[in-house]
Amino acid sequence: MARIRLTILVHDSWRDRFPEVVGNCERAGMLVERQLVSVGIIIGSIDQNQAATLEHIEGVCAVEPEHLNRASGLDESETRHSG
Amino acid sequence: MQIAPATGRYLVLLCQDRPQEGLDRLASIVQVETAGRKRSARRAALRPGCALVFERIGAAVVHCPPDKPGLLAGLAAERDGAVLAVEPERLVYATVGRQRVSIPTPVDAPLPLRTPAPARFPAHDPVLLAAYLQGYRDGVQDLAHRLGETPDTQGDATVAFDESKVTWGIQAVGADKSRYTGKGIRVAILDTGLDLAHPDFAGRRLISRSFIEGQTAQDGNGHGTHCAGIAAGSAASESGIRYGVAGEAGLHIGKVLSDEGSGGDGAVLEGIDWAISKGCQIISMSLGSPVQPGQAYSRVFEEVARRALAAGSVIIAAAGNDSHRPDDIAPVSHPANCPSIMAVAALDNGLAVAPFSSGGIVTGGGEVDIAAPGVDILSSWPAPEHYNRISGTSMATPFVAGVAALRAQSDKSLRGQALLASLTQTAKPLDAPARDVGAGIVQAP
Repeated sequence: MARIRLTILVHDSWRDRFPEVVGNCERAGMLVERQLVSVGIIIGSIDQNQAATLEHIEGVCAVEPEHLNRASGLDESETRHSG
Repeated sequence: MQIAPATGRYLVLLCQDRPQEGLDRLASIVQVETAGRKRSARRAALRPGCALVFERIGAAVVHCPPDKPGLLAGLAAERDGAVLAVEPERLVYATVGRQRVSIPTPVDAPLPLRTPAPARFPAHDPVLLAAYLQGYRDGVQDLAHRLGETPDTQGDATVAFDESKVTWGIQAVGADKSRYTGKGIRVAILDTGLDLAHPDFAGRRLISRSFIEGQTAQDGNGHGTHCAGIAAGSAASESGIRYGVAGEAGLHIGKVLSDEGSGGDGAVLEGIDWAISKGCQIISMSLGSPVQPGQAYSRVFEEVARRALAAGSVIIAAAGNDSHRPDDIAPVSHPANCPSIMAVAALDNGLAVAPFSSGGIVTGGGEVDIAAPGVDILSSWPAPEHYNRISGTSMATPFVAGVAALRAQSDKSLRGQALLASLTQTAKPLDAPARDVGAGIVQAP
């Protein structure tokens, strides 16, 4: 089964119960890799089929698949091409 | 400026959720052409009975036959209709160079404007209304330009910079004339790291951390070293040319992109979390991921940006390099498209928008907020070169971050949202649509 990487936003009113939300995410099958308490974010991965269950966990505000970000610079040849 | 008589044309705003429905209603009254689909469409809007639709901004310019304004106005009055507003176009004239440019302005007495449901278009919201009117102005200005009625004002603007001692970018943002250095302000550069042995950073107190597994904060790419140099490189570079804006800012180097130049949201969010925990007032992110037109911004990043603002940290991010102007303007990338993150466009040394710079073709998130130098920018680079010239909205972003540090130093009350507002309020307007350059080019205090 394919695993997907996810970012979970914990609702503001649940940030003082952050560990509880993390525990519930783990029980739902999520492998929690990072807990960013000060901004209320949980990062990890889960089987694709189980991902939808995360949205129903109390205290979870949003669940989003991870983007792959790239440096936003161009080398000289790309600049010329763009121009 | 003088007010001209009505042109006989109308602006029609379509419901973004149901654009085709709105177009169908419009087509029941006039012939509808879509901008960009064929060359003849550009002329169509000048003929009575025709409408030119700008799909990306969800608006149309309609040359209504003399006997049909009532029908047109009726579309906006339809209950739960797909046409949100119909307004008469009015023109004022501004003199730019030696030629006249037509710029429509908001009308004083619009045709009946139905107040739509807040979730669809809160016309009572002054921020959204201003964005709508800005889009209106930009759309019609773009139309006029395509029809050959206006000069290319950007192309006429050539600005001469002598780079023998200071880069053109530093001069363009006025950092070389500022008495501020960023001292006492903490700036986080979330990127590919820094060449920790670079001579221009020798003896500099800086804090670094890697969020990329298996890689240290040492920059194996060059991009991060270049961005850090622009934001906070020393005013006394070994090259003899000043390229850094805030040379005494406290640098925090967070490696969130690998040496290959990429990284997931998790590393970026961890870097933001770290920067906030370190008390960084400014977080510069020259990174992004392309989005499709109409794609919603990330709720996660938006909320994190709000929480950062509440903690006194602003996030400044690259708008993206996905445009191929003038024909193709790509939307602002993730995460710069979040409303609470400042999106930065790139300018060339004529202060024209760079051909690759993404544009604010989406409102309610996705706008360009400000612009800064981003073409042919000299800055630091890992050994053995030590210096390099590259381009991108990546380069424009640390210019804004550096200027933000100067502003934050100049006034202790400028933190979080107040700092963001200060940056846009003091930007120098440019002869380009806000869609492309936001408030204009960032300016040092």
